Amino acid sequence: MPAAGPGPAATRTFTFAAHVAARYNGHTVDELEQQDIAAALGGDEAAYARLVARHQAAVARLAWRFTRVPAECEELVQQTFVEAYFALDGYRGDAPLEHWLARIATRVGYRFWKERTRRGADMPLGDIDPAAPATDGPADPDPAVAAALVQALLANLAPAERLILTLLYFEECSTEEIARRMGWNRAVVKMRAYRARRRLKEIAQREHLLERLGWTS
Amino acid sequence: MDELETIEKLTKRARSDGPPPVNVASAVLARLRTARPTPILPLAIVAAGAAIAAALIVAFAAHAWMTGVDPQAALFPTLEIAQL
Repeated sequence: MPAAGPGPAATRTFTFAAHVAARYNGHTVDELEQQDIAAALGGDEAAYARLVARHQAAVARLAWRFTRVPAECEELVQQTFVEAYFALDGYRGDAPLEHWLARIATRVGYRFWKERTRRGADMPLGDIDPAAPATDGPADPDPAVAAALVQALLANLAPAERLILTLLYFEECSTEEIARRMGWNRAVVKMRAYRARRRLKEIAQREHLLERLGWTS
Repeated sequence: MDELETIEKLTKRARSDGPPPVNVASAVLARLRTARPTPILPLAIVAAGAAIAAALIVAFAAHAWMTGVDPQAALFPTLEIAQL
């Protein structure tokens, strides 16, 4: 069956509010979503392609926290939607699809990190020059450089600790949300977050982060 | 400012950093076509065949057990005879 190309709605990133409020051809997004989910469950590939097109930007944004290599990021997005397809009949609709996909994407990303840790691949902090791209001054590195720096620091942590701090820092998730997303105990998440922060501080000191940024006074 | 505050400040800057645009719909569909779960019928046929074979073996083994002579049991009468 031919895949439907992404329509005008495809390139939009839906926040939760927009998800509820946006309307297309007189239907709410939720209605369209429900129709597409039902059709996809019935084997309609075009309907699933529409769901992918609608949510791929949000999933890619999350996947970008797990790798800064565009090809790997795209691979994680693909894997998320492949797994989502096979789990779609388990989607109960009590939370927006975007949240459900974020949960799958987080698990896909976590597995990617665990696999990567086994292979010993890592992101060397020394390769990142805080002043490399255009910066607004020593106090304000470019967002891409700031992200690369933080992600390189986090890469020194164990995958579980790295995941917790990534979700806390980048996604602004609560410990409760992290616990729910990963099926972990909330107390364990809190304890790991505490340890991870302490360890991250040690790593930042060892890597002379403040000196690198020129933020020492 | 300590290291953790620095990292939190960097993270705030980093939140606006996003990935290059992706368009994975057709790639996902292509992967789904090749990654469809194996249909259950061939597996069920193999499982049924294996179950029938196992049942035949169990039946044969039970029959052999019931009708066969236990070598240990056969030894005792011999011993009893030897004691006489």
